[in-house]
Amino acid sequence: MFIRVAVPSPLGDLIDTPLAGSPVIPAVDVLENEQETVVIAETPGVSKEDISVTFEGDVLTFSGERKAAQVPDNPRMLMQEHHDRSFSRSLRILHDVERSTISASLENGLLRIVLPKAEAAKPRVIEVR
Amino acid sequence: MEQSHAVIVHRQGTQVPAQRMKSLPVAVTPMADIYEAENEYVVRLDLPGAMRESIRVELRQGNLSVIADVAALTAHSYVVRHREIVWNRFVRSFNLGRGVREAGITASVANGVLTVRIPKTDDALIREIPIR
Repeated sequence: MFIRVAVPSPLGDLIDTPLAGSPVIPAVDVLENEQETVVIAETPGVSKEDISVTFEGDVLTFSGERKAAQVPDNPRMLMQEHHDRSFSRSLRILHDVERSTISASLENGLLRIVLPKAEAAKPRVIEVR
Repeated sequence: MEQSHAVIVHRQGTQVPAQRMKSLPVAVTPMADIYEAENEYVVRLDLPGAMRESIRVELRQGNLSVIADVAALTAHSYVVRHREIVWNRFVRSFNLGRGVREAGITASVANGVLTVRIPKTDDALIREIPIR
């Protein structure tokens, strides 16, 4: 296990209502192979300009804001389940990362961050003599 | 006596006994916003991960259904270390009621959000009655 993800607690979910004003915690998947770790997060309705991704120490953080979609003047809201608010999530990456080649992309409402492993973190086969 | 068991009809039309479907998660209900503008209704649905080709918007007897399948990324021999995203199917239906022009309905998708625009018929437009 090379990744430690802070999982929101059930209590946290209760407190984390739109009224609480705290950032939304997007759902994430973490995948790993010998070369890299990939973090995928659900960020529907968010555009590229409104997301920031940072890697400080061993903590990956992505955050941003879902801006209100354009609506005409005086719309009558018949149903509103989305709340345009900020989101943020941090993950601790427990292997060395090749920082200069971290990349992030946004597609179909999913944020995808690729963290290439540093040479020292890649598995090595030791020859038996 | 014939043994009865529930069947679930797949999208492709094959029939799978219900017992075998138990291990699959149920479809996800996507979050929606609906508002009424001057001459149309607008429905917005979050469908993160759904590609344009995998989204189906259906209209049947005044019922608007949205179905979208999403598939988890499995290439490059990744090992899943942590999973919170439900990679399955988004399904949601709305009853349109009267006063909509079904032929004029349009749908578009951007950043994982589907927008369906439903124009009103002339007699459904909001008319303001002046107070004398």
